[in-house]
Amino acid sequence: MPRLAASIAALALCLASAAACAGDDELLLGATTSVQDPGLLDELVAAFEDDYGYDVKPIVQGSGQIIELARRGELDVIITHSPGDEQALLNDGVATGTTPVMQNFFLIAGPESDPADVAGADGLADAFARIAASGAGFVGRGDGSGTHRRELATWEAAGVDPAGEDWYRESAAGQGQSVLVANDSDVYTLVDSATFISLADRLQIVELFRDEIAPNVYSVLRLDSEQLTEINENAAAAWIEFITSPRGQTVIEEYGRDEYGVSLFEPLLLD
Amino acid sequence: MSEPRIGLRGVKVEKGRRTVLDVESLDVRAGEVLAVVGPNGAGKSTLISVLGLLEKPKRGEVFFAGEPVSGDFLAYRRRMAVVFQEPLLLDASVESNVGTGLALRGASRDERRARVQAWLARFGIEALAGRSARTLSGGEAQRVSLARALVLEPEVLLLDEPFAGLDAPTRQSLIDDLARVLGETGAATVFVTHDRDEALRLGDRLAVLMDGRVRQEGTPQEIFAGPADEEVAAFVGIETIAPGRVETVSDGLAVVRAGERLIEAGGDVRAGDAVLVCLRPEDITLGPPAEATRTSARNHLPATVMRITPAGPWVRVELDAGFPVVSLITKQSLEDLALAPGTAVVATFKAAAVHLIRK
Amino acid sequence: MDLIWDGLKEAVSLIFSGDAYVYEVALTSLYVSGLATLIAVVIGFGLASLLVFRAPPGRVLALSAFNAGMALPPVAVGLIVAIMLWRTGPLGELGLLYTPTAIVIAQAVIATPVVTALSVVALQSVNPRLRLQVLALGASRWQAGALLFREARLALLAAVMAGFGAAVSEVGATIMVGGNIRGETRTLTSATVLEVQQGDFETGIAFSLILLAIIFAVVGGLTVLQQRRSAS
Repeated sequence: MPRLAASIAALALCLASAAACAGDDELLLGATTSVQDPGLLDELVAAFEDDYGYDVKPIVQGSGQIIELARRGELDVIITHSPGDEQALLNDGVATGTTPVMQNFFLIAGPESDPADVAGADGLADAFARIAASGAGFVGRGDGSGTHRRELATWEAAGVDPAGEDWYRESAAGQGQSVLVANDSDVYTLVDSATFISLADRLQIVELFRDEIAPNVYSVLRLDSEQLTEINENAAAAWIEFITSPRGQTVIEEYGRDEYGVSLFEPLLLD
Repeated sequence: MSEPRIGLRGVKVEKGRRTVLDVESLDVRAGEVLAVVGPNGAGKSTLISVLGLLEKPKRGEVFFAGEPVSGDFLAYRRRMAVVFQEPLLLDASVESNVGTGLALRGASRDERRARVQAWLARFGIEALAGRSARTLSGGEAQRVSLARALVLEPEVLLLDEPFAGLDAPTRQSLIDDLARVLGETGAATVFVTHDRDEALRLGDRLAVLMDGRVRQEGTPQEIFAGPADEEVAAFVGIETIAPGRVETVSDGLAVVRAGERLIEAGGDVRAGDAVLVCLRPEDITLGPPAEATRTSARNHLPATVMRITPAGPWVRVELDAGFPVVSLITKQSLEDLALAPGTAVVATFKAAAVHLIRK
Repeated sequence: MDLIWDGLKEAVSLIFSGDAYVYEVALTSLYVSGLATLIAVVIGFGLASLLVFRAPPGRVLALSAFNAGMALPPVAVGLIVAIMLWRTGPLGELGLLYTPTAIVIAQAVIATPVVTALSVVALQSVNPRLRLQVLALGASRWQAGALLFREARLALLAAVMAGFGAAVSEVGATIMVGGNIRGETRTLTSATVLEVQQGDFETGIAFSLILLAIIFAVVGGLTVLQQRRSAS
């Protein structure tokens, strides 16, 4: 109950002085649902706020929206896992640098019976081709997210255009929900490993194919403060420093260990 | 002579292209009841609106206690009260409704309660105090509306056809109550109606309003005995009015003394009542003095011819029987009787033709 | 169906265990929607008064606009308000985006047409001659307005309830201008969306049930007030 009282007091204070909550101590951090849904984002934000004292406002949307907001200077710094979009931002000069900070992998989850024999595929593209050939169901993201980009690239590599096919559905939902939709219909879907592991105990679909070749890399993007004058560059710099530091990287590595027995995200900068 | 409490000067009200009210001058004194009669559409409601400062005339001014009204109308409105044809009560208790005006003026709770109680009693509706206004009958609701106006003890009281929506017995009862109460207040009252009898009952003075203009103003006798023009005459209908007092009543037949004459009439009156004796001109027949007793009519008044005027196929004869009497006869009768100003005749009419109005 | 039953059990346990998170989002919901409704009522009653009592020219057009506004898609309102409040937007200086104030603004925009349109109908249902009678008894314009508002209190309270309902149940605009940030701008509705997104359906249902309970309590209280037949 004391914790409850303290929360209420803090909330009341914040609500009452809404405008005062804004300002130089604020960091507008853009992130995708695949970082938030497993719960890592909250951990990182809590640790960062403790150490650096900023007030983080995590803006979690699909990658497409995050990128667009970043272009407009409405976010101070972003974490994405969509190399194509990141490259575009660099090319346009909106971002001045990108640092990969963690990764996990993509996998195809599907019905235990595996009608398309995805388990026997020799590559992600091949697995997709098998699904298309068998006509077994597939649920895609359809929302411009990092996972969706990977999915589209893979369809292209497999020489398949799933649009309009009756075995293909787009959920346009967050990562977690999308998996549950696939689970409900007992069909295939592409999902990042963190989300899959964190939901595993309530799923009947199982991991059938793991992409060892092209990991799902999350990078933090530094935005150009000269062009985007509104952004809080100090806060952004602090975040980048934090997430690339041993402290941040350790938080990443330890996340999920207790609950799932394995790290949901592999830190890339920890020696 | 006190100055008028409320009056109009040069007032003109237009609605679109039509002039609905055009009154050069109108005055009402404190304690006086001016009854304004007229057919529907005559502009009576507009008159009330202008007097009540609820509507601003296109031209002209309203005078209050001798001074033209200016500045904040609210102060003046708080010295007046209006009762409309619909009771227009609030969705609250009767007590609360009657106290509305007092509450608006900032009266204290205790003062409100006391005055409301007193006026509910005067209208005989104390028992209704706690009732919700929505449950009242038409007559009860209108009594509440009257009480609500009178509890304010206003200097000016305006009534816009307050009894028009009620059935005859309720109307009668309310008119009686109001007549009694009006006699006791000192307010300058303007009472607007299309009903001639109501006007006669309640009004000290009458004004006839037709097509927005005041055609005639004066005592009831002045107007009814001598209507200013044919339109007024046609509207008022009755031309003989004589004040009188009931001497005896037996079996529903009353004997009324008017001037020096005794007249028999039917009516719901009691001995000692002050009444107005009213007769339509077509109900009075004229005859030579000698032939007085040959008809079944009981009323024979010796009279002298004062004036003879043609009126279409008829002839209008004004007589003096101690009070003005007007009769309508055929041209033939005129010849037969050889009437001329100064001729002595007997004016005859049935007791049943006499219309008594209690004063 | 088990899901709903599980959700109900979780709702009860969350409430009685004094779970800080739940109380946090519930309070945020009440605060922003309550404030937004209050703003909508002040503006709505004022506008309704103006449109009905002063009857200015062009009022039919204005009324059509408010009636149409009752069907305003909340997410469209959210998008427009967000664009206004962006740092690079016209009101960016105020720094209101992703704060409870932004949600209050968006919800007030959504609730105001509802309250206005229904208040107009409420006031119009009062006998127009009643205003005249009240003025004739010596009411000032303000006093007349107050009396007429009291006459229409049943329908006006319904307007308030409708406004509150519109504000507290909406989620699209809330997330767009509020950012659904924990401890600051997360309401019961946006928290429900998050839970569902993350696949935690029971908690989503629990939150929904708690929201329903709050709505019932508030609206129920207002209904009791509305229906009270006290002789006054």
